[in-house]
Amino acid sequence: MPRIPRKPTAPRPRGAVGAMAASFARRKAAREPRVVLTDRGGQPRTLDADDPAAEPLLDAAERLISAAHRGSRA
Amino acid sequence: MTLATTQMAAVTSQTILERGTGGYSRPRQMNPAPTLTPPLALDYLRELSADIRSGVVLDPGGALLAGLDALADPARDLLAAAGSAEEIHVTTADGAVFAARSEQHSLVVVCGRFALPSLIRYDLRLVLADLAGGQRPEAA
Repeated sequence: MPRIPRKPTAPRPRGAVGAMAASFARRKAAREPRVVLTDRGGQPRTLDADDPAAEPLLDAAERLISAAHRGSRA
Repeated sequence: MTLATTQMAAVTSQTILERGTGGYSRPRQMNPAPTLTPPLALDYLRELSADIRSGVVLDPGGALLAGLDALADPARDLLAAAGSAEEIHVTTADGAVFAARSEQHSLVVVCGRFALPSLIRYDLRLVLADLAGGQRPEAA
């Protein structure tokens, strides 16, 4: 079977510029909200931040974090 | 120690060896280890991980067993919003929240943003098992 030629990808910055771009991308990804639910069988399910099911979870998590913050300062 | 007492010990141990060591190795009735209480569970979790800032322990009905009152309501909301999920992990820009539940207890903890999810989840499962007085989970 003939090998399918690899699809060309968009050029990525290399060197110092590439490292900085990757670093910014990692920081941005780390600050993005993330919701993971694991069922009884240990199967994880990641919800998109704009998923309606993720909204109440994110809201509750933010309230928990701010309450913990206030509690630690009190 | 005289020669006679030395020899007596040797003879006794030889007899035990020949008869098998069942008398020494059979399971004996022991006092069960005290199970972890909810307030101790939170202290233990904070000792296990420096990333855990605060937390609560709830019973299956949502009643607060240990932890800050201010965390109880949002913790109940989080568990209710997660449906039947057994473990919950939510990361926001300001921190991360982890929750795990068993048939007897629910644990919700607030951590820093850089907490390692697999470690926190393992610690939560471990403490849930200790709270229930059951067998500890295997490391993943």
